[in-house]
Amino acid sequence: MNKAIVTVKNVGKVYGSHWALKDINLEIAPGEIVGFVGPNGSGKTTLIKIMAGLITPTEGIVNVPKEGLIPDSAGIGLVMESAPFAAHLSGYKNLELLAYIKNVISANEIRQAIQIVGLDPESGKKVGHYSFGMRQRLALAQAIMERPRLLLLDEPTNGLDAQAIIELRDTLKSLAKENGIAIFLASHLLTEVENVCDRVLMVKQGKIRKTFNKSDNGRAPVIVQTTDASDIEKLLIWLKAHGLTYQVLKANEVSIDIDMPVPQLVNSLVQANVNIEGIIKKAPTLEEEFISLLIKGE
Amino acid sequence: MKGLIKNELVRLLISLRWLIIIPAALIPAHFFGAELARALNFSHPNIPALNGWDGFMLTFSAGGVWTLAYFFLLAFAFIVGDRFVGDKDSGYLSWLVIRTNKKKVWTAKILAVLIAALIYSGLYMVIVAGYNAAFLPISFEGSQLARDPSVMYEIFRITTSQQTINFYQSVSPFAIFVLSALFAGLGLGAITSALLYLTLLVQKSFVPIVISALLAIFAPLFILSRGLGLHPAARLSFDFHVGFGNIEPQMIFYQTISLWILLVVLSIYLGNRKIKKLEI
Repeated sequence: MNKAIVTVKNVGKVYGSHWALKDINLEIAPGEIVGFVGPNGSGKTTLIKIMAGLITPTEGIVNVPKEGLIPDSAGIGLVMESAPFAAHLSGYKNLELLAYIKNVISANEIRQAIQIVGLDPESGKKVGHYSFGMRQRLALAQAIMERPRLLLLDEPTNGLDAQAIIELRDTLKSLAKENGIAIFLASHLLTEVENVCDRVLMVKQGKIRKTFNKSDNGRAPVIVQTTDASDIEKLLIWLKAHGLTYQVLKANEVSIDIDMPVPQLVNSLVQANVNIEGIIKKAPTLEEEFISLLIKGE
Repeated sequence: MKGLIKNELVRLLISLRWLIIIPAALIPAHFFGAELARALNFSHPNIPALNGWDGFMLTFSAGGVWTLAYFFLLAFAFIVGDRFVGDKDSGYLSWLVIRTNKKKVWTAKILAVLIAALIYSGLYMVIVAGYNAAFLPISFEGSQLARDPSVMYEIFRITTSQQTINFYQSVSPFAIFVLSALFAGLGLGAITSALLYLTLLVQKSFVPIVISALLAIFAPLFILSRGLGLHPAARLSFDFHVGFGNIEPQMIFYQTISLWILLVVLSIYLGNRKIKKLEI
């Protein structure tokens, strides 16, 4: 991992006697997309606001970039659930108003940001006439226009249609990959979070319970289909010899709980004279992990 | 800071709420200005004809607390009262804060409201003057009544002690118009700065309305006594027009200006202390 540009150490936030967040530790590297999922009230927005400097944590330390990729620009871009633009102004004019504050980007750079999110920078259409999805895209444009090093997104897909969600996903991946922007994304859409994020933190009652890592080649059930029943017998002998746990699904199908790369498993089974018809590594989806961890409490 | 003020000011000025300035200026201009001037001419057929400037000045003198508190001040409070609470609730405040810091955002908000108050005051007075000019004779100088104390002394039976009044017979009504707009604008900006500070203390959407209503109720305490209204020289003249007994402003011009500036500075200072700890 590259040197982290975001460090969150032992962060906690208490309201009255209720800890909205507790013992949060997190690092994000440049170009990394980290997801944050959890039930309502689990502290997602609170953590984003703490990272954005909008609220102060009760305990712990937060280090975030002070400056963006453009000198003197803001280090953080922020998209919250709402997109509170001035309804009587066009999208471009709204962004120009925000760009006045730092005055570090040109009109062309504002237009580029609008183009990146799939809107027309030359359109004079007032934001009051935008659809919700267009407002959300414009909100993303305001967040990226000054090229921050960290992008904080709180439910950015709210109100977006399927096509807009796919486009947003591609935009985020490209921003992370091409510009090295670190992205922290809180959302309820588990499939989207899984698709776009490199890793996902699962939070419940203010604490991170588990990290779901897409690139993790750890233990995951593998389903092996053999040519016929006699191969199943050979397979079971091999499994018992290696002390592995398994479950026979059909007459020629077995699910194996194994921590071994699939090519190596195939080689071993071929050497054991097992005729393999098919093999699938069935890693649990984020949704399955979410249900088992946060709903069933496993 | 310049960019922040520009952001605040543009968002403030494009609000449709500014349309309220039209009825808020026209109603007192009609009843306390043009109509009253015509009534004076009718009831005192021997006085020289009053012109548009008399109507303008009567709007603020005869209108007194009605014009200043219930129209001038309340309409502006309606326009700017939720500048802080609205931005906080909508989430816009967070976009501002991540680009600078909370203190600068607050300072810019107060300064933008102050500038907007001066613009509002100028616009308000232009509407009042324009309306009176439309219904009363147009002139580039004050009427004979306003320029010649002896006429007023005779008609309104002013006592000797009141004859030392600094009438504006040697001052252009344009100059009084500009001074009045600036003076009233500064006072308005100062009062609404304090109002914004109160909305920072109690962040509820109803607070601006409640505070504005309270301001209106208690307006006589600070508007008439402390001179939110007009340039003192002009106020003396207006009071004289309608024969008010008490024609001495309780505070003189520069003291009042100092008070307003102090109120703005306090709103910025106390607001900065408060917003530092505020969760957005």
